[in-house]
Amino acid sequence: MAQIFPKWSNYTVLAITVKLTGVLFSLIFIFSWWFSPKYTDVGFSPEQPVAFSHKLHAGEMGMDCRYCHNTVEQAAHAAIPPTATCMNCHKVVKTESPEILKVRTAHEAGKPIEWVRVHILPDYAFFDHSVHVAAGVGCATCHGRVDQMKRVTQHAPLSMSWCLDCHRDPSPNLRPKTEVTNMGWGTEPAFAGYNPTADPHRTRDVQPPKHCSGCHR
Amino acid sequence: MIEKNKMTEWRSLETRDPDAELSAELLNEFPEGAAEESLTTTSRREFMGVMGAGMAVGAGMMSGCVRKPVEHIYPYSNRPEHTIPGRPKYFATSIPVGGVVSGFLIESHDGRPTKLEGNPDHPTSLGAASAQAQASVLDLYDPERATTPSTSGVESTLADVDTLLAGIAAKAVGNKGEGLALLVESRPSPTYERLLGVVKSTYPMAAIYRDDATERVNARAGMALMGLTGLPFLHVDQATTILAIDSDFIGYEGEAVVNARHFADGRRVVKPGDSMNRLYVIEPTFSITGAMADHRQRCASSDVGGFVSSLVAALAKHGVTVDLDVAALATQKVRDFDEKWIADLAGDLAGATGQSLVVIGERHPAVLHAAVAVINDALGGTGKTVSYLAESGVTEAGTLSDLVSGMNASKVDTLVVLGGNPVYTATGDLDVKTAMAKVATTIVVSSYAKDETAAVATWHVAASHYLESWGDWTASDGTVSVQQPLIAPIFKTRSELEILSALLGKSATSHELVVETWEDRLSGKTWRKALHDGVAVAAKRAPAGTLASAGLNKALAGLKTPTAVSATNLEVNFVLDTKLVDGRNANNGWLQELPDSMTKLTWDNAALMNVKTAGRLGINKTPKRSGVKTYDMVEVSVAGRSVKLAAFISPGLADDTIFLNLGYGRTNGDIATGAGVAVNVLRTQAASAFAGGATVKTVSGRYPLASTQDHWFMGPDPDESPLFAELGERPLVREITQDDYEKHPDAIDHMGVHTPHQENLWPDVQDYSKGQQWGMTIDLNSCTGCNACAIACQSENNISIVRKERVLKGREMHWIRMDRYYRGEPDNPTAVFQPMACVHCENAPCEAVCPVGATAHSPDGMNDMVYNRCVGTRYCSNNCPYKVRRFNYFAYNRDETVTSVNPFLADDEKLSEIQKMQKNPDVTIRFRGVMEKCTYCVQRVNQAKIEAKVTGDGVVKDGDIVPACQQTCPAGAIVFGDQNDPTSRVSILKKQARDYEVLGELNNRARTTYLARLRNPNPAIEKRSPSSHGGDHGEAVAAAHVGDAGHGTHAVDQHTEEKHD
Repeated sequence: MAQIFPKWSNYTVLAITVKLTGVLFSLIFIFSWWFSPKYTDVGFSPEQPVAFSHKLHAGEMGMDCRYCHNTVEQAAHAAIPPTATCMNCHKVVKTESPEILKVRTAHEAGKPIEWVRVHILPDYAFFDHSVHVAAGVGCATCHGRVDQMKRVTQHAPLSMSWCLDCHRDPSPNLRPKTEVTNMGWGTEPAFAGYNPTADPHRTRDVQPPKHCSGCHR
Repeated sequence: MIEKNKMTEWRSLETRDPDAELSAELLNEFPEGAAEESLTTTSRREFMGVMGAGMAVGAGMMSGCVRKPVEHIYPYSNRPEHTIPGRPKYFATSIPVGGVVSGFLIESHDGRPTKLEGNPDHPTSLGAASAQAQASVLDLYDPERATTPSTSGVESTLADVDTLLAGIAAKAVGNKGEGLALLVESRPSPTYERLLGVVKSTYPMAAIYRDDATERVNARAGMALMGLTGLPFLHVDQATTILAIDSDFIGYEGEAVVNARHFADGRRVVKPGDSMNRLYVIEPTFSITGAMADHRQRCASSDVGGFVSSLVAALAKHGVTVDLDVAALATQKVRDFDEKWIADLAGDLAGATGQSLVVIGERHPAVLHAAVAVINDALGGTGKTVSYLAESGVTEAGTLSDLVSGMNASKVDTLVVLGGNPVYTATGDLDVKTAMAKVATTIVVSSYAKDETAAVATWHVAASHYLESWGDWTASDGTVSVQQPLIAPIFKTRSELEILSALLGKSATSHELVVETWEDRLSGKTWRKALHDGVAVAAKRAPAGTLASAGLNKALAGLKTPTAVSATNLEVNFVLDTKLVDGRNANNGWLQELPDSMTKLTWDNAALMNVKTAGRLGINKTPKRSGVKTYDMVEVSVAGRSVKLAAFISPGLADDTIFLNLGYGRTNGDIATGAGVAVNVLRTQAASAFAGGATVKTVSGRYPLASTQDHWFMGPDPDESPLFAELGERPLVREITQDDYEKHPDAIDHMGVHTPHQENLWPDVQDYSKGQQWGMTIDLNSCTGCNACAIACQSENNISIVRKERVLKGREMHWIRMDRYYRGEPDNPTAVFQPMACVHCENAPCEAVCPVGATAHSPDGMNDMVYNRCVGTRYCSNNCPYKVRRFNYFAYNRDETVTSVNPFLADDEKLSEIQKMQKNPDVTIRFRGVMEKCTYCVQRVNQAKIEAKVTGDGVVKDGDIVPACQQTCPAGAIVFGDQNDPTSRVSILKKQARDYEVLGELNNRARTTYLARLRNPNPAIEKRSPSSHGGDHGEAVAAAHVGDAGHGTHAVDQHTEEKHD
């Protein structure tokens, strides 16, 4: 009696299994990577109405972050500076630049500059800058090397698991409070092996919340 | 099924004596039909089917993954000094609410005023604010508020209004104001009165009329009889024995917020030996003051005169000579009244000379106000418990009826109505509408173009909200505060001050006008300090003079004896609504949906009567239950006019009296329309507060009333748990007399159900002995049930309103449920309030059943609700023994601009751009399908913790966290704090013997505990009839009384006695 199935059909089960596994892993990958903020959000770098360069201001000229983002130590929002802050210098500096003209026009008209928001958290997550700065989390830890960015780019996924990774084990991301705005911290040998628990300037242990209402209200 | 007569405390007559059908319904978490997804006819099954199809379509529409929508950040051009984006700022302001001037702090988020709180520095607030005051913020964001002026319904401009007013001014200058009439409301404001004075002197022929339901006309006239120009001002803190004669002085009348604080301060028992004041109440209705009373008696409104005469006679027997022509008063006879009770009361008042206080309600005639002043004087209260403060600068004005006759006689060619809504509020014998038609130009300044009066006017000027305009106000004690706006006018509106100024031919802003009044007294630094503190002039008012009762005795002689109220001579009472007042708050959704303190009615008024009266009139004791509860309709007729409305049986009212709340049946907006029935037509100028000779008959038809009194039933379910059947009833509210409490401090504890030994099924998830652990106490001895906390919670936590049809289905969203329990006989019960919100159990039953971990515990002991995890199974709500979880059946906050293709979302509530501005940005807006409940104001807890971490050692100091409910509580009944800190206020209160946990037998270990209610009855009355303050006390309290006879302290737990051996 002739065989109904040819000999190669012995391998079909194996082939189907292998392919299905492949499909399954691809699906997992698709969801875990292409659907995750690591892919969808990191690298988000929208064009801004004024081509402000952090690289120039914070990097080359070495301005402190808090000159502009001056509410970062007191409030939830680091706050985009009012246009008046730009005009402090640009009343006299680079007054002919077409970009500065936009800033000046907006300031004279009393109209806000419509900056495009880069770091967006869901409305049900409440992040507070002040307490993170007080704990000694550096700006660069979440925002990346802003001093090297011509246009601000999202550095971290800002996903809940990313937040919790640090909340569960904060010490690797802590630095002396004086170094919070130091963009290059960690690359400098002076601070190698910094141990927050041994820091005499710290008055209390950093105990970040890990429960729901810590961030969700 | 619930056993009959098992309930010693009951929320409604139906639950007092439930039938099989009702007990099944009560034990259901939601009434029949509440689980239907949609209000349309679609069933749940159909919904699932269509949703399946919808998902397929939806998947096809997902064209590529799009990143979040682009968001913009708009920074200030010049950021104002001390402004930190995202941090709220507080500004002091002042306004009259319900006729009472008080000072407030307004929370402003990035320029949007979102919440009102009391100003602790203001003497008529002391940091507290009433429900009405707090809800007034919502009016600013009412999408139906008039946005432009209009003339005969056609949109106009402010420039046209200016031209119109300038024309009127020019004409008035020429003819000295002949034909010009102004109808104003009561405005105790220096600038307002100054401008009115200028109007009077510039246009001597112009006429000013005043009509305001909240004006204290009777009290003022009563003082005039005594030779005083002023008003009585209560010092409740100085009184130890208080008699309230139909006066809701700690509830909703007068300076109730401060009175409630002082009254509660007078009965804060923390340690044995602490003294308590004593309150007697005589009233036809059942007010929340009546619920706080140690002794309460019912008495028809027309019998109040008779009561006063009996009291005067009784006082004379105790050596207190009241300088009153008793002979005239004696013709007034109070019927069915226990003379011995009055004698005991008189003895108590006489015994507390200089510390006793008699208060009478504004709705009673001037003579009685004067008589009460004389009684207080005889009791030595003048200058101690009550003082008479001179009113200054109240412009003399005619009444509304003067205006109507003037208009009918064609003496008025221009009428300006500044606030008020006379077409709606006028009594039935005044036809304001027809009279207004005879006036050539009528200008109405109000917030709603659809106001009954605005609709018949030739011009309507949209009025600015108080948060948009300047003003100044004199409180009843003489404190003057500046009304400071927090936002520029959102629409094309004008304030009343600006209109007055324009009528004088001078275009000025409200700011300029207020500054003009004050510039010689306040400027620069002192002006800024006045704005900052919210108190401009702290000077007390001058005394109004000395009492002289000669005029009163003359008035008494002319008094007519009222016909006695009886089954054939029904008395109908018209009362200002505790929420809508005279209808001025009718389009405020928070207030419409707020359950009334006693009846728990929302969105409606009804003909309220007691069981006996209802029985005589043939009204069914229980409503018909077919899906929703429907009630019998009645027709109430007085003096030839009648209204039809639903009848609602409310325990504790006087026999043969009917109560009709004013303020309903308005048509000025979507919220107001359809809510209740207007009853002003029944009132007359002669009988505007109560009228005898009413007839009531049942008429065909039924009407659904949304009373929440039986919602969220907390009684035991013996069917589900035989254990509870054995344990008997649940002692949810506990009360005891102060005497018994002193003798047996542990009696409160023994009222509870005793369970042998409580052990956890699971180990503790957290170690609650370490760190800061939040807890709360609510003192039932202070809580007056005024609902201020409920509105504070609603405005702080962005709680939605759901409208009447959903309240009928038990879908109301209030996080704080103000439970009101009656005790005793249906027609003469006592009442206790118990605010019930999530109690944050350490062993939370809700957490154990959530399949997705959307409700979990925080290490500081709070039961967190995580909206973004919730999938809406509602298991948690089902398992919650306190029934405090609320489910979003619909999206009550759907963005108006987003249109949904899903037909099942048609019932969602749309939120307009302006409504969004009211929301608190620190609290998540909840969407359809998620559960919510009290969070202990976690946003405030977190803010305090963050501040402690940023500025200190991370330990929050006691008193740094104040939840919204505690912040506003007039009585100071709510205290929140760290219960692990032995020195915190909350742990000191929790250490008292009267601290108890509701349903503690379930071993939930609730963080919110209650302090038992204490009563301080007069021993003489108590001895004669121990049941006089509540009839059947309930087993628990009755047993505690047994303790008097030397019974052991274990007397109370007889029913569980065998169990713990």
